[in-house]
Amino acid sequence: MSQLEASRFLVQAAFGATIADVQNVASNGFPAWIDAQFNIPRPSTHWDFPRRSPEALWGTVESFWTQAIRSSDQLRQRVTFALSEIFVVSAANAELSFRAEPLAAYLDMLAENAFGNFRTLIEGVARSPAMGYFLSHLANEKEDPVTGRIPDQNFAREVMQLFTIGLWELNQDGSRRVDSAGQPIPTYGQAEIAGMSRVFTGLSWANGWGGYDFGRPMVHYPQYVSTSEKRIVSGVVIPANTSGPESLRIALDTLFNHANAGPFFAEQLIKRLVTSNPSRPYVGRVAAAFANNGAGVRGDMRAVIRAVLMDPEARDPAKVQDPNWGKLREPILRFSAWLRAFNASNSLGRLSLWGYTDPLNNMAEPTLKPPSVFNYFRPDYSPPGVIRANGIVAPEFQITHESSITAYANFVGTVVSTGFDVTYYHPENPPITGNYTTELTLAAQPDALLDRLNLLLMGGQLSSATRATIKTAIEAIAIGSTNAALRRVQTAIALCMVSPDFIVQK
Amino acid sequence: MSSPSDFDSSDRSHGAATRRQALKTLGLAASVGVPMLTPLIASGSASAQTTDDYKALVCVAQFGGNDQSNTIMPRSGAAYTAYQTARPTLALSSTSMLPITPTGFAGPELGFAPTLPGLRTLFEQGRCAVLANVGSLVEPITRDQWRAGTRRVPRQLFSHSDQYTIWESGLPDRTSQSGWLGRLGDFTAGAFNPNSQISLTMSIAGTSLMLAGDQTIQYQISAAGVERVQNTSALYGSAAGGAALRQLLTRQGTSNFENSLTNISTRALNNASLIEDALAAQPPLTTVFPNTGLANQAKMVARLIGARRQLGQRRQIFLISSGGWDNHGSIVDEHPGQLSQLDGAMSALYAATVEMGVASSVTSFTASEFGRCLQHNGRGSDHGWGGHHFIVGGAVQGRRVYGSWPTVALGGAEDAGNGALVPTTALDEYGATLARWFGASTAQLSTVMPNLSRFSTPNLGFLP
Repeated sequence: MSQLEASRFLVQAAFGATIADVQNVASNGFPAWIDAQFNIPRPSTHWDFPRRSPEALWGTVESFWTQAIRSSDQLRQRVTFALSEIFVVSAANAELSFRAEPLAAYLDMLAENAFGNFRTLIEGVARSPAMGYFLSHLANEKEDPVTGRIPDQNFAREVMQLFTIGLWELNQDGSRRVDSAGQPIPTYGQAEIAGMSRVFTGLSWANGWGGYDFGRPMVHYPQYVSTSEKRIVSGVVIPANTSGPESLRIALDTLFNHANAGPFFAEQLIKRLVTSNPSRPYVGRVAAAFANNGAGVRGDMRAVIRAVLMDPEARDPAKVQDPNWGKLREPILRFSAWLRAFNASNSLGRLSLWGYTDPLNNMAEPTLKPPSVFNYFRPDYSPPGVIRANGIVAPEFQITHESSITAYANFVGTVVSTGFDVTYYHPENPPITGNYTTELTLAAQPDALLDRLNLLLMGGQLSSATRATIKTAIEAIAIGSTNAALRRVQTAIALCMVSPDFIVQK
Repeated sequence: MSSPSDFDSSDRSHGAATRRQALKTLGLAASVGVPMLTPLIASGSASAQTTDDYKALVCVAQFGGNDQSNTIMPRSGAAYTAYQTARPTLALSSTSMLPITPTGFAGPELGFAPTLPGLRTLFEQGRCAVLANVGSLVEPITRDQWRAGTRRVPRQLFSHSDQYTIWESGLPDRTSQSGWLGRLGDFTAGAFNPNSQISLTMSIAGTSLMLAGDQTIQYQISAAGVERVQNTSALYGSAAGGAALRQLLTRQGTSNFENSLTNISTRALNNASLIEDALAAQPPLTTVFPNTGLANQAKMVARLIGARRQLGQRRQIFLISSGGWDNHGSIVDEHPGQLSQLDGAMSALYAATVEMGVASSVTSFTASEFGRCLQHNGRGSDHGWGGHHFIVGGAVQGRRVYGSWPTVALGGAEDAGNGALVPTTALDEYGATLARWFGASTAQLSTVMPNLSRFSTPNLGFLP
């Protein structure tokens, strides 16, 4: 396969490309690369990332960026990021922003389950204390007829609406089923919410109902578990006096085995990695892999990920010409592409991308801080204008507006030349700069320079029009003028990164 | 909805380990500033107008679903007892409530939450009205009809995303490509802002379907101000680099994603300096805004109102928002502070409009995807349906409770289950009343709120 095809693949499957990655994929092929990635152990946990001062969330923010940019298990890193945008826990919650541990443990849990089974993954989500805090089923008590208290319904609702089955009954290709009157069919109603809310009672910290331990999954405390009958989806009735763990097992099994689970998750994962508007057959093929990995196993994440990335639609070079194909790269992924391409670092060898000035704040994607459980953007968002007029969706456009685009363009101008510099606020953190050593050797050869950037940044999607525009700008900097080589390289990189060819992955 | 300000389904917590945030009771910031000046009449405007024929609507979105039952409550007698009985762990004490004295109101004695002193003052001064139990409806419905399932109801009641989308679109029974304020903008932009380069609908709160019309596309401005795209005259010292940057930001091609992107950056390139200059030309406001996320947004709204002439706008529609209202697990800890932020922002915005002499031209109003259940879950309350809302402004016929005050008791006449309220006023009536004041004709109202004719009160009367 060509290096351009490898580069395009890495935009979908990694946090960005390096030349070594491109050569690796090009020489070994996609399936072998994917299989090799499945077998790379996690290099370290976020939990064990050194808790440098100041504490708070920032240790985990730095750990997130460090793994995302430097770990060799790129596929796991990218899938984990995708999962974090589906099974959302956010440091926008004040309590979770005070400490590094909650999000560290949560990201670790997602990473450990990324190549496992979906059933185990959703149990990890349901028992996570960070999630329990975020969606308030931690220390959720059974109903009490005396005071009129009913169990909290928050997690009960979102575990169905957002994490497993969605709001509407689906066909296996992800389209909505309809009833005899042609109307879509809700997957559940208030009765099932109430039943499910009683399932998620009696769970609290591993070290006691009133304890505090983000490092271990929540456990049941029988005295707080609802003993009522629980009617949930799919007509399942959990009998009265069923134990807390058994109720949870039945409920999660029911959601896992619901016909919606495969197509619902398939479409979400495709949207996070490949394209905002997959065809129905593409969703159907991934859902089929969810239903059966070929060895009779349902929910095998490796099979699902392989199906997403190896689908003919994902790999078809002709799709690049389809006006409705692809997706907007969200700001975190634009920045990560630069960080990886140029092995960015500060003089201490660290990626301390945090502080009072998270560069992603003004781009409307603050790291680890989506505004709510609905993530930074919803999977069905369709911006007004040409996207909506064409009947397609573009989730990432929900955070794409005059302010965030301007902030991004200005950030590129600065970061490419002087790096990410917060020494004004954090003198202990030297600026993070890119290493352009190889690019500087190509400064006098604009086409060769752009060929390299096409592989590193552009996923092979540098159009001839954009190439001509950037080449003209490069050549306008006369060889021999002050800092000509560096200015040529910086100009080429910055212009690539603000070009629509880069921001839209195809 | 959206973006840096989406619904907030995160829930603050509870329990032994909770670090309870100290409740910061912000003082009333609305010390009304300078005596109002007689508004200047824009001499260039062709038609005869009173004052300068200016109007603005400001939607204040509360993402997550405000708990109406701890916002405006019965404060005495059997009505208070029923309230307290329904939510013993959450109920506010009657003595802590701020009493209000609505005109012509036959319901129980009511109070505002203790952290709403500014809105309470405005209410008593007749500058704030309450609209009780308003929500998304497909058609009028009673509790018994709800129980019997004999009437159509909005899809996916009680779901944040779906219900907020309905509050944005004004269409509970079909998908929509536009929002009700955007459609209102379609009618008014050409007539009132014919030479303005800037969209009539402006968001300080991220992207929102609410502000999208068939022609109208919102302009996003951050609370901190407008940032210009840099480097367009020279990139790294090269004019050619700056020209290339501009070309790339505005390039149109064949990809709908790319074109949608460059449409936005083209607007930013063309308009940022215009807005920045217009804002910079205004005298600073003496009104003090609290330093909260919502109040900072409100302050930007006030500044854009001040810059209306430079922007060529005689009609403006704004959206500001705050998250964190989804208090499943934290009514007692979090809700008072949320209300305090709302109170500070809306009070200061009103004071600023007085300062600028446009108080009777600016109406702000709250929106939230749903109210919450009266019944408690020990620490908070769960998703409901109808809720109460505030309308503030010099034109508001205030010190009144509009709509129908519900029975605040479990099993009450509007109880849809667990004390969720079957709405007695439709969002359609709420929006139509605002749109009529803004200038929409009766015919246009049927486009702004297409289902309006299904409901009995297209003009609720809280605006002239």
